[in-house]
Amino acid sequence: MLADKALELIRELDRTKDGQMPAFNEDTIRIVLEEMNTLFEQNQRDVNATVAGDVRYFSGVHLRHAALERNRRCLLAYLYNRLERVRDMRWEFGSILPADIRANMCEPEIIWFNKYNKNLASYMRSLGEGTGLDLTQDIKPPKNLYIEVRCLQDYGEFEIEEGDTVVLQKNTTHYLPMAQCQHLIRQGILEHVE
Amino acid sequence: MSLKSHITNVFKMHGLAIRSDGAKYLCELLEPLPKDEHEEWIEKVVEAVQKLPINSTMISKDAIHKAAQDVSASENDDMENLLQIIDIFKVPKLMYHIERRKFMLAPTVARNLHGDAPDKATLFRDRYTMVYQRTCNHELFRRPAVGANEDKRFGLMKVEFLLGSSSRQDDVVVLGLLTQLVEGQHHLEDDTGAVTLNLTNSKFHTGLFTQNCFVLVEGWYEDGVLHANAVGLPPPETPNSTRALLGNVNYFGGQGNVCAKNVLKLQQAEQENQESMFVVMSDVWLDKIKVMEKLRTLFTGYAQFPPTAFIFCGNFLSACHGSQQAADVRQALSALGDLIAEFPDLQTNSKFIFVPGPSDPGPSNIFPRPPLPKYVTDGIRRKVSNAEFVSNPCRLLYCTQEIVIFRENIVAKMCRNCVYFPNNSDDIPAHFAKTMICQAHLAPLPLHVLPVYWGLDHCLALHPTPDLIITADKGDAFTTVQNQCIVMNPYLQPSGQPNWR
Repeated sequence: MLADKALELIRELDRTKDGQMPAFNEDTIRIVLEEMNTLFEQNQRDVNATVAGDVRYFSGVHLRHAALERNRRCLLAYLYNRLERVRDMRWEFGSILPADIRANMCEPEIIWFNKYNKNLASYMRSLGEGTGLDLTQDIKPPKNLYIEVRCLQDYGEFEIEEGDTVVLQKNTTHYLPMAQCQHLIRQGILEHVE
Repeated sequence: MSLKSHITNVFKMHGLAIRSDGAKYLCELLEPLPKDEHEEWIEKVVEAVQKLPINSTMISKDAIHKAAQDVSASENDDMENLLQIIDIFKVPKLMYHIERRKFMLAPTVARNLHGDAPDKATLFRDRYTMVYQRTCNHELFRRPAVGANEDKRFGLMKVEFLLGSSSRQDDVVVLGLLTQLVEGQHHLEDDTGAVTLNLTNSKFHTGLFTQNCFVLVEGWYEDGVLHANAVGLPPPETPNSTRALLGNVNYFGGQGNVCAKNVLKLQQAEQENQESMFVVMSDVWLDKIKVMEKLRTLFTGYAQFPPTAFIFCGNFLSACHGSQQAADVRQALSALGDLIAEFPDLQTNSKFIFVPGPSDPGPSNIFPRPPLPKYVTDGIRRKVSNAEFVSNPCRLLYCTQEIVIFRENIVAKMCRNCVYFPNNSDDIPAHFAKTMICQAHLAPLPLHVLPVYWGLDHCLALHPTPDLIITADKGDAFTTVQNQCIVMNPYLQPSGQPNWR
């Protein structure tokens, strides 16, 4: 059936949960593009015939055109939805993506991610009167400035902004400023003790 | 705000957390620079850090160190080094990734020179996979798009399918390795099995069909025998489409993480250096006085316009000198060094590349073969600092041009091991070039004819097709174009008449 493969792409993306990144399906995209090429060529031929006065092919042209547009919509939706996921990942994982996710992205997506990163960074630095404001922090309003955390793995020396250094060893608990240890919690090095 | 907390802050804005030793290190690096440049440098380091292959947002001192090196390397980027000589033992390996359905670089691991038994099986399987996937992707074999006219399409079959069928199968197309499992009886083998092949009434397309090369057989199957109507080489893939499929990775080897073809700076450099020249000579018998005289004439001719590189292929002696071989080659090379030193322009502006030949000193002729040993070369190295001793085969990258040099009497060897010798034998170079490109391998021959280190077979691969292949062969000189790749053979006749490009 026409435009079947394009729908398959959308289905594949839909099947994976939000926040997951399926591998960029180059193969199917190529097949869809090829299908579009053949459709376009056939349409071109029939359109020429129609223009020459033969009206028999008219409905066929319409059908193929609809298929072409559907294919295009599906491809664009696929790419756009992936981009949205890439963007969300910047807020979730920070600017360095885990290797397995990175492997599933295609080259332009990685370039887009880096550019987005840069834009976000320069915007965040323009805020807060010259000192910058990290928007990715405190997405939920914090209850307390300091929190108690437990170390899940050996990390080594960690310097907090006041200049004190803390040695983070496995299974030790610390009382640290929330703003500074949040990224460590996100990385799974520390755990918030409620 | 102090510099250090500023650095930490900038990294934080980029979603990175710099460790305190890293920040300290960067402070030390920045201190000697004027204050107003700090901002710019920090930005550059952050950008370089993001390009590094790191897995966590914690940036250690090592990462900062590497990033700072990258920044300084890209800042004082001299374009003098346009010619890259690539260590063949470190070239990346392309592997087909079944889940991702594309070729990807295999993780770099230290490979042993002498492989294990599984490596030998992998060698053939990898060669097969490369050709099979390329063929499947060819428009004749790809499943047609919906609505396209479906004539002129073939479906590839595996040997397993044939062996399992009890009735006669017509119009089958199989890709497999041409072998003689039993003496005098040809077989077609792929990764699922082997089938007896009957070649009596078959038509051969162009190419040299050697033992152990991959062929497409079209024919009919009955009672355990595949009767071939036509035998052809798997179709090549244009280098551009191969590169498009691979993405922007450095598959060729050498420095840089991306494919040289996509580097704008190198493309420009290539445009500016249209006039550059390589002089290729093979079998330079340095012990013959006549050859030395001719070399002097050659150097005098080029003295005004030094070419980018002189490529000398072995053997460097006219005859085998037994135990004296190494000492004699050393002496002959030093004499060449003296000769080159008489032309200071050449000495400083050209590179001199030496590829070892079959009877030159060094380990036996198993490919890839390491460069000439240090003992032999230190005489000439002292006189000519631009002398480079390379492996055989070897890869060069000039701007974006990929060059492969292979010193081996490969044409003769392939002709000797042909299952079918082409009728129009005048056009052997074209047949030969086609075979090499279609097989995507420098030496599609049985391992006893042309031994290859099992674990290092990927060094001889030609996928994607490079821009120039120089096979320094003992036969006649030729130049032919196949699949946008120039295949050429220089040859210095024993009379001392050099051919060059």
